[in-house]
Amino acid sequence: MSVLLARRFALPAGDAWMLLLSVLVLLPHLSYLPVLLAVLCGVIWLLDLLLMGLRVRLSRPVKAGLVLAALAILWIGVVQRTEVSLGLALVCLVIALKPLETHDRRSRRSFALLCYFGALIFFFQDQSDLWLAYYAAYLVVLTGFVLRVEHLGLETGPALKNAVALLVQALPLAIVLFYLFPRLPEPLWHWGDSSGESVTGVPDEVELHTLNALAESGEVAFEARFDGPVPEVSSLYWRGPIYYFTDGRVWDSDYFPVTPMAPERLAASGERSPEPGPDRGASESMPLTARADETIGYRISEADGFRHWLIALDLPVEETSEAMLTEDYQLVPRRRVGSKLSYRMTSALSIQTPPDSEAVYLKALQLPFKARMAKDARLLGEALQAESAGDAQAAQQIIRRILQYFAEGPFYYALDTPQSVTNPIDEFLFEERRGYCTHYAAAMTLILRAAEVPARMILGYRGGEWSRAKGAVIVRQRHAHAWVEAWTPTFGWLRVDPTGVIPPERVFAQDPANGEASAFNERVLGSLAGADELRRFLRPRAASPAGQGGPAGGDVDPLQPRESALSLGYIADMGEYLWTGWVKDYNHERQQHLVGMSGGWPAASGLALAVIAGALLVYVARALLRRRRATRGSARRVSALYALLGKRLARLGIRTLPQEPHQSLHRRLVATGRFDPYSLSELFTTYERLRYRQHEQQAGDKDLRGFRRQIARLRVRSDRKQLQRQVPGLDQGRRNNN
Amino acid sequence: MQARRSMSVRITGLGIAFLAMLLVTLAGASNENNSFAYLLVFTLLGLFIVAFVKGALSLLPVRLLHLHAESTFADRPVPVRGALTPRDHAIPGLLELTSATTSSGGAGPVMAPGMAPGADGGFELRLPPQPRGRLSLGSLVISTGYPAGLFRWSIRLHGLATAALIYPAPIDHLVAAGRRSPLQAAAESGDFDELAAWREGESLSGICWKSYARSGKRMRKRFLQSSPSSDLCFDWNGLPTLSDEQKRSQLCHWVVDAHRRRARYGLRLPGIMIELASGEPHYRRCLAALAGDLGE
Repeated sequence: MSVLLARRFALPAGDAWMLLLSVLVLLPHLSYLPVLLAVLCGVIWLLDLLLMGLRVRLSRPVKAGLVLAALAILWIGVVQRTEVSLGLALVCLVIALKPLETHDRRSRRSFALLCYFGALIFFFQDQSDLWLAYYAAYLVVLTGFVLRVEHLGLETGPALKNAVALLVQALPLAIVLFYLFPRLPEPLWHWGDSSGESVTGVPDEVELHTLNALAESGEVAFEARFDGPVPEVSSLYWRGPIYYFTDGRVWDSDYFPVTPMAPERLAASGERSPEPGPDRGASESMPLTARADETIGYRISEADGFRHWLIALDLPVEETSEAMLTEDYQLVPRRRVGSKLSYRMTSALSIQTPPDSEAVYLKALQLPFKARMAKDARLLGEALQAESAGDAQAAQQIIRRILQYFAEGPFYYALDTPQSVTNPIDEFLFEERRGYCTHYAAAMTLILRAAEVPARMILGYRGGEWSRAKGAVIVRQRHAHAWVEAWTPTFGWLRVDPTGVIPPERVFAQDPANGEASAFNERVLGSLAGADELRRFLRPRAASPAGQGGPAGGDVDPLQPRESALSLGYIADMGEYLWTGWVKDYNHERQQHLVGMSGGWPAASGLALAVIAGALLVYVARALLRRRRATRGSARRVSALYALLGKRLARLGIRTLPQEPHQSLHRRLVATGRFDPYSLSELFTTYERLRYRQHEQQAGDKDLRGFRRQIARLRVRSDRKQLQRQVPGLDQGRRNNN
Repeated sequence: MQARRSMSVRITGLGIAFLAMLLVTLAGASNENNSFAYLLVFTLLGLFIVAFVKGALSLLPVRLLHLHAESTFADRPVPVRGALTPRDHAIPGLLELTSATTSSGGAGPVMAPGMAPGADGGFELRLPPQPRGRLSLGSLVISTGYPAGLFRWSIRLHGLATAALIYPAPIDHLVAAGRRSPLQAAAESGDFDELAAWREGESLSGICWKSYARSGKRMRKRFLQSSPSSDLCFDWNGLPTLSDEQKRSQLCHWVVDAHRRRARYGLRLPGIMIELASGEPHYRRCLAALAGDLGE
C-alpha cells in the first residue's frame, strides 16, 4: 500500500512507509485523544505528505519551532481536557512528528521502536478483539518495515512475508509465556486516577443521557453463575451505585463517606446466610422476615474491579471477606482490587429492609439547591402529597399516582432524546415527555422527594442472557438500567421501576433491558389496587424453584434458549467463552487453576521449558536440514572434483592457495605456459558453470563425469620452448617432481 | 585449508531499547492483568529470541569461498576481492565485512563497513595502504544484524592466506633532490628532434624553459630515440645518498617508468641480479624483488 502511495504521489518509498505506519498506529488512539490533539496529528501528517511530495526537508530551526508549537498546543489541549494522560498524548504526538525528521537508518530504528510502543500502550485504553486483530496485522507491517530498514533493497513483498514468518515463529514462546508468566493476584500500584472513570459501564456520576451510550454496547459487564435454579430473567435487577445527591442535572453516587451496615441491621434484614460467618452467628436466632428459600447464592465473575462498589443482585444480604455492605445495601469491595473481579454473594429477591438511620432519610430527601431546578416537578410532588394527606399509606399512594402519571402521560420511551442542560427534569416531565430509564428514574425520585417520600436512584443492570456453554447469565453493558428505591413505613425500601409502565406502543427504541416491558406493565397497572400486589410487582418474588439447574420459573424466558442440539449459536457461544475465559480475561485465578491441573509450578515450568526447547529444536533442525539440502549433492561433488584438480596441480609442482579464486588460478596456470590455454579455458568454464550456476541447471552425473575427464586430461605441454624462465616456481616445481 | 573461525554476538543499541520497552510494557500489563498487552509483549519477546537464534543460524553456514588480494604499491589501497558461500539461500541481505590487519603500518583496521556481498556472494574491499612486503591479512569479520537488527552476530576468520605483494611506493626521490634520473638521461641522450606541447602529467624537468620564457607556452624537448642504447640497468649501489627504503622506492619508480616506456631494463639489488629484459613477467619479477619477496 505504501508502495502504491509512493507511486501515486511520487513519494520516496521509505518516507511513505513511515507516514503510513505513523497514521496506522495512531488511528485507534485518536478516539481517545482530545479533538485538538487528533486534529494536530492530522495537520502534521498532511504537512509531512506535502513535504514529501515537494521533496523538501525541514531545516533544524524550523523543525524545532514546529515541535515547540505542537507541544504548546498539546499543553493547552491537555490542560483543557484533563482526562487524557499527558504521557499518552506525548507519545502520540512524537509518533506523528517523528517521520518529519527521520531520514537515516538510525532514526528509522527509533521510529519503529516508538511505533511498537504506540501499539502496545493502546491496550491500556481499550481491550477489544477488533483492535487486537488490527494491531496484530499492524505488527506484521511494522516488522516488515524494520526488516526493510535493516536490509536495504528488500522488496515490500518479501519483507512482509519474512515478518509473518518471524512473528509466527515467535508465537510458541509467546503462548507459553502468556499462560505461565506469573500473573499478579492484585495490582502492585494504581495509576493516578482509575477509580471508575476509566472503566466502561455504569459511572459514578451520571446525567440523564449518560446510559444512552451503553444501549448498543454488547460488551460483557459481568457473568453470574447461580448455585440453584436461575431465577426468571425479568426479575433480575443487578444493583449498582446508589445516587442521592443531585443539582437537578448531575447525580452523584459518591458524595458522603461510606457508612458500613451495622451488624444487627444486617441480621434484622432477615437474611440467613447459607454459610454464616463466625462473626454473624447471632443471625441464627434473629427473627426472619425473608423466607430461607428466597435467598439465592451466586457467583459474579469478570466484573470490573476498579470501582467503589460491586454489582449484586437486588438485594445483597451477605458480607464476605472480599465485600461488605453499606447501610443502604451497597456492596463495596473491602480493598482495591484487580481489573477483573470474581466474588460470591447471596441475595434475597424478596426482603423487607429494617428502618434506616436519620442520615439516610435526610440524604434521600435532598432536593436541588437551586430553586428553579425541577421547579414544576417539585410542585407536582407537593400536589401529590397534599392529595394523599392523612392517608395511612400515603407513600404507596404517591408512588401509584406517579406511575399512573407516566402510564397515562402520554410518556414515550425513546433513546434519541435531546440533551438538556438547563432544567432537564422539568423539560422531560412537561415538554418532551420522551426519555429512557434514567429520565424516568430521576424524575420520579425528585417528585417523590418533593412529596416527602425518601427516594434514591439506583443504577445497575436488568436481565441478562442465559449462556448454556458457560452455564451462566451474561449481563452486557446494554442491560444497563436505572430505577428508583422509595421508602414506605410499611415495607421499608421498595424498588420501583417507572420505565416499565410505558405501554409497548409508546416504546420507540427497543431497549434490551426493557425487553419484557409489556408483561411488566400489565402487572404494574393491574396490581396497583392492593398493597400486597404492589409489593409483589415492585420487588418481584423469587421464582418457585422448579427443576434442577438451568432456567426456571413459570414463563419461558425468550432470552434463555431451550436446550437444543449442538447448534451454530452454541459453538459461537463456546468459542466466545473460551476466548474470553482463556485469552482475554485470563488471570491469576485461572492460572492457578491451569498450573494446578498440570501438577504445580515445577511441572508447569518444566512443561513450558520442554515446549520451548522442542520448538527451538524443531526450528534449528529445520534450518540445518535446509542448509544440508542446499550444500548436499552436486555442489559438494563439484567441490570435491575441484579439490582433485588442486591435488593434480600439486603433483605438477604448482601450489594452489586457499581461497584462491578460480579465475586467479586460471590466470596463473596460463602464465606458466605449461598448459594448453584452450583446454584450461574449457576446464575452468565447465567448473564455473557447474559450481556457480546451479540455480540455472543442477549439475547432473553426466556433467560431473565430463568435468572429471577434463581434469584427467590436463597435461603439461610437451612444447618446452614455450616455457618462460622468468616464472618463479616452475623450476622449483620440476625439481620437486623429479 | 579453511581459515580458523570464531563466532560472537552482541546486542545492539536497538536491541537494548527494544528490550527495555518490552519490560516497561510488561510491568504495566502485569499490574493491570492486561491480556492483550501481555499477548503483544510476549509475541515481541518471542520475536526478540527468534531474532537471536535466526541470526546465529543465518551465519553458521557462511563460508569464505575465496579471497584474493591484488598486489599493489605501498602508497595505494589494496583491493581485496572475495566471495561468500552459500549464495543461493539463507545468506541474509546484509553482511558487514571488516578486516583487522596485523601490520604495524598504523593503518586503521576497518575497511568498508556496511558492505553487502553482491547477489553472487562476491565482495570487493579496499584495505588502506599497507607496508611493503608480503601482504598479511589479519582477520576478516563477517557480521550480520539479521533479521531485525536487534543482535549483531559475527564470524571472525583468522589465518587468511594471500599471495599478494606490496611493492615499494614508486617515488622519485632524486627529482626531489634536484638530480636527473638515469631514465631521463637515457631519454635525453638522443639527438634533439623537436619541441612538442607539454601535457599535464609529464615531467617538469622536460620543459624547455627558454621557450616558455619567450612564448609563455610550455613546450617539451623531444629527442630521437636511440633504441639499443636505451637499455637501462637500475643499480642499488648507484644511490648512495638514499636510505634503504628510499632506494627501493626510487628503484621501483624507475622500474615502473621503464616498463611504461617499454624499455629493456635490468635490476641489481644486494644479492640479486635480474638481467635485462622487458614485458609483464619481467616487470612483476622486478617488483617482487623490490618488495623483498625474492631476495630476502
